[in-house]
Amino acid sequence: MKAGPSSSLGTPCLRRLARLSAYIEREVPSPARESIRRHMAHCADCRVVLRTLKKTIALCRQAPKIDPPQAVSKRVLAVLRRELARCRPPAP
Amino acid sequence: MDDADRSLVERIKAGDVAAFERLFSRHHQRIYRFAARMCRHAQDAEDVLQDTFLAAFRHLKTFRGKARFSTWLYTIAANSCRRTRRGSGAVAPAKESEPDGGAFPVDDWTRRPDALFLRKETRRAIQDAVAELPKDLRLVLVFRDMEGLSAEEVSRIVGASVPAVKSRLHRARLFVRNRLSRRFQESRR
Ligand SMILES: [Zn+2]
Repeated sequence: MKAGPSSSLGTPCLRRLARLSAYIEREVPSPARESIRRHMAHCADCRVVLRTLKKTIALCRQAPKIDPPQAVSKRVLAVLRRELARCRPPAP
Repeated sequence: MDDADRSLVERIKAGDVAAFERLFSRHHQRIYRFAARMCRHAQDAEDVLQDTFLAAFRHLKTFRGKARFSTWLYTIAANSCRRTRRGSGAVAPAKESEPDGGAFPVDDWTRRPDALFLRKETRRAIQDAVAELPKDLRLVLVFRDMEGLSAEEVSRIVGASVPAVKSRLHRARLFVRNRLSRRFQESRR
């Protein structure tokens, strides 16, 4: 049960894994939710998986936003303007 | 949809083509951001940005205003990503059935110092893991966990049911988690 640094998750725990995102987002209905919670209380491996999965989600959410460089916006807008000038307006 | 977008679309359909520039300035940042996360290469992101707005202009008459304008744009952008060099396959496309070769490391790296998570290498590790996801999974993870769209909106964009979106998202998260776990194990040795 005690997780070593390079241990791998056992099969019974792997099966529970399928509902972990739903569990994190509180979308697992009550009886099943209790069962997962009970398992977590006894299984150190699954607690680690839960924590690392939550952290992964948080890291994705915090990933820096990549704004378009001004030169890119300008270039694309220039192409777009040529197209707007060239094209007849779309039919209503 | 947003009233400002709706009135701009109506103006363009009525012949005020220049109003399209306003739509561009309102939405180009989010489209670029999405494209940069999907493609990773700046040139591809720029191509997607350009393709998306050119296609949106050319097909504006097919936009009925049922969905939000941004949802419609994202749909075009998601299709455009398929045509880029890197957009369809990732750097080393993983098998979808078993995205991480079956190994499931259990190592609690969440307690490691916050500084680790702010490091450039950690951010790159996340980008690498996302880039290696099969496209269907990558799209959903980028939309849900990076751009913050709802499961319902993503379902409309990718043309899959909400349960399918949730299942893809979960698989994508596990894949990224496993990659990070391995990365942090290695970095500790
Ligand atoms: Zn367990």
